[in-house]
Amino acid sequence: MFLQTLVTGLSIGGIYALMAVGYSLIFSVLSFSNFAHGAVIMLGAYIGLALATKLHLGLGLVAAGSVVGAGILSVCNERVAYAALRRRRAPSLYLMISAMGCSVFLENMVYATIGSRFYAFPEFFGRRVVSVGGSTLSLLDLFAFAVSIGAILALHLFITRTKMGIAIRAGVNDMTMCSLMGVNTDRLIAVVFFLAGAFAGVAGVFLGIRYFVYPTMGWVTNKAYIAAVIGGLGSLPGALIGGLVLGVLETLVSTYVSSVLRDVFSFTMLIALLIWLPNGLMGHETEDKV
Amino acid sequence: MMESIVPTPLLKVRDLSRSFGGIRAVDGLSFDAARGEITGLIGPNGAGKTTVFNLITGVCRPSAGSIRLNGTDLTGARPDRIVRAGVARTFQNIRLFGRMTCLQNVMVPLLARGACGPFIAFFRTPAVRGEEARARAEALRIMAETGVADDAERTASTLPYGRQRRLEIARALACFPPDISRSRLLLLDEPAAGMNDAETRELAATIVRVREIFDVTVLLIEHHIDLVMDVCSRIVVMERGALLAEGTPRDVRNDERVITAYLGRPRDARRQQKTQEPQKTREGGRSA
Amino acid sequence: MYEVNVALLACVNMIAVLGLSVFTGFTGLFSLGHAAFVGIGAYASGVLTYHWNVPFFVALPAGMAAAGLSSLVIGIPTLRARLRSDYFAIAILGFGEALRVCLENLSLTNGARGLSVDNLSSPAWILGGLAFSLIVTRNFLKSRFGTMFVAIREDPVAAEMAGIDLFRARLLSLFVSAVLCGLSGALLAHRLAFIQPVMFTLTQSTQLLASVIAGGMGSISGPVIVAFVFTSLPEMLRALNMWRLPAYGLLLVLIMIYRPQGLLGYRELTGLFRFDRFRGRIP
Repeated sequence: MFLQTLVTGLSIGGIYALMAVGYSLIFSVLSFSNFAHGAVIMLGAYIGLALATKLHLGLGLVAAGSVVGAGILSVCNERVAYAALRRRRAPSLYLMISAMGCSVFLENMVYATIGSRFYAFPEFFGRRVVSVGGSTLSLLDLFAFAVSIGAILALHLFITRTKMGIAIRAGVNDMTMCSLMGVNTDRLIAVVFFLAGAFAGVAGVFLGIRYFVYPTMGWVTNKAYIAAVIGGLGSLPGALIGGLVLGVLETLVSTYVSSVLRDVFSFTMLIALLIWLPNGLMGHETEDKV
Repeated sequence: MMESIVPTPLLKVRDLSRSFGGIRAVDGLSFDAARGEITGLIGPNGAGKTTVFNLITGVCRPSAGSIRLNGTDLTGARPDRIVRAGVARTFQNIRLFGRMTCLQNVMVPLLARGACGPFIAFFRTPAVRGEEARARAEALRIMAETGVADDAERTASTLPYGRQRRLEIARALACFPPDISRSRLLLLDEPAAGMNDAETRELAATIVRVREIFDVTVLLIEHHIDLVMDVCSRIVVMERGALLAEGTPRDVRNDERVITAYLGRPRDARRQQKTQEPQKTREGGRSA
Repeated sequence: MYEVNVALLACVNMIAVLGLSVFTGFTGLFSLGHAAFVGIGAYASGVLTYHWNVPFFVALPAGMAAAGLSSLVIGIPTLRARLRSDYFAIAILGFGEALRVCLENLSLTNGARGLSVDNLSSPAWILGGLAFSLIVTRNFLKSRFGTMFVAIREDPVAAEMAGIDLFRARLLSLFVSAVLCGLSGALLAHRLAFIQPVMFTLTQSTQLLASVIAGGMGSISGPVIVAFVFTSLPEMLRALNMWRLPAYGLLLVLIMIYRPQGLLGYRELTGLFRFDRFRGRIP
């Protein structure tokens, strides 16, 4: 029973981490909270749903389609709603408001055109389970966890080993310097948003498979934001650890205490953490340049 | 110029260190700023001068060492507490409250230490009005002394560059609490950056006058060497976060280590400094 | 009569927008959860009048106090982290969700089915509440606190170096804005005579924010005017209701790109509310 709960928690935590990584990546480069991230996740789920139900594609192609689709949407989102603000160096408050506007617009456009119906993905995994030492573990859980970890590891390799990744890390430190050194910042930011969108796409498909697809499903990104803060805003390993910790603890609470208290618990945990560990588990002190 | 008074240090910095991700921006720095005098803090770009200001004013915490003002330990205290203890500063890249009028900019520090509580502020009692009127009068007095009184009703962001720097000095002077007359430390971070020679001379006169009228001790970061040599009674030279030399302008000017480190080559130092100046000015303009 | 009702609801909404304007427009902090404070004001006062028959003139301030206290609960840990107001934006998002879950599951609040209270908010209460809020907010923003808030909005680092305790000033701004939202909530509950947790979610927070931004940062009259238009127009044009929210979203993006100052950014309609610029002449 405990092992089963733990694996479910890790699987949910993996999805939180996928969302938190994208959010954290954008935060570290442009230093604003991209509240449209949830809407991209939701659209990614709808794209995956369309591919699965209309074209009857398998999971691999559904996920690939969703990754590419959500990635492109994320880049478009940046071009339309943030690029102009970014270029004239608007305060991050303006970017946050614009992001919120995008989120509200996209969610409600889906609501107005597709409707508020809950859609379910076809059962890719059925109710297949794996037995380990007397516990029955859902194949979906194991798969979601493995994919999340794999994807985040791949991102880590990309950021530390490739030229583009190193440019992104330089951008994290100083965007102005980066552009002075001849890096095309527009392209760099497009790559960052594509990556964030791609992760949102994977997260959307997993969320859709696990639960349902509906216009406000993106609100679950609240948990990703909390995970990012737990791990330390702007830190990629922090986003992974924060997501996993939050997922496991939440699942433990809803299994052993009360499923109603789950969301209250996450929020209380966030507040407690901010009191005792204001910079998160992996974050370092943030200071403005003066 | 202040030789007659025995200079007792107002600011004592001891073994101050701060590193950012492995780079030691300030590394075991110790120096004093004598009460009532103007002390220059100079050094090549990246020597850690502004970081020293940030450490003194509490923008960032020192990794080691201590900062004492008139015997009070300020190491790692909160910025607003440090301001209350009698430290005020200007910024290298001007940080005015852009959408406020100049008068309001100077009133902010005065109002920040006002006595009226939030509750009576809801009802705009005579006490609230009186406090505001006093703050306005005081702000105008400070602005007159620093030569920005004519701009009182102008929006700060519309001021020309040089006057914005002066307004920052006025705002910093407004930070000093009236009761702590014996410890007032004014930190000026490149106040002449972006100014031409005439403006710089005017500024030098203002700094000297302000020191006398407001009875402040000044610590001055500046790249215009002429200004530093003219107004400072002592100069602290930094290189790579550490103290390179300390002494009177004459001592420093003749110090071989300073000439080598700061100006590159020993001999034709003054000429080279002249050629460096336009570049410095441009940098000041960009960072603002 | 229908028009009067709509206008009165708009007035109630204006109080909440006024509250958010203090926090976002004047102090420069972002909030996606002020509907939660409206909800706390509504439920705290509603529960008091419904379960214990507390008189309205006691329940109303109780609702305001409850909203104010809850703002301290999230404000104290989140506004402490220096220079990073994102923590607050995220925490208040979570707070709103946690509050909804609590309201939906408590028997005291009658869960998701909602609470039917008495219709106690007479037009006099509503107009009186609005007038009180406008006067008090104007005075407050004209005072040294308003000047400190604007300084923080313009440059938090310079404000701190001018001797402002960032944490306390931001917390005070949040507290005042939450109390105003609480007042709005208490009036709303006893005007509609029915409240439900779903009335105080992210959607409502976004509408509040849209009013403040469209009305203009650093302005009282702008957001209040826009709040009135935003509340009354869709009520008159019921058919377009479905497109109201997408329009809000689009409006936020377009304003940020083309007119970040909104309708009356950093300005006021009448001299009555002017404080971004002192009126006094130089002697």
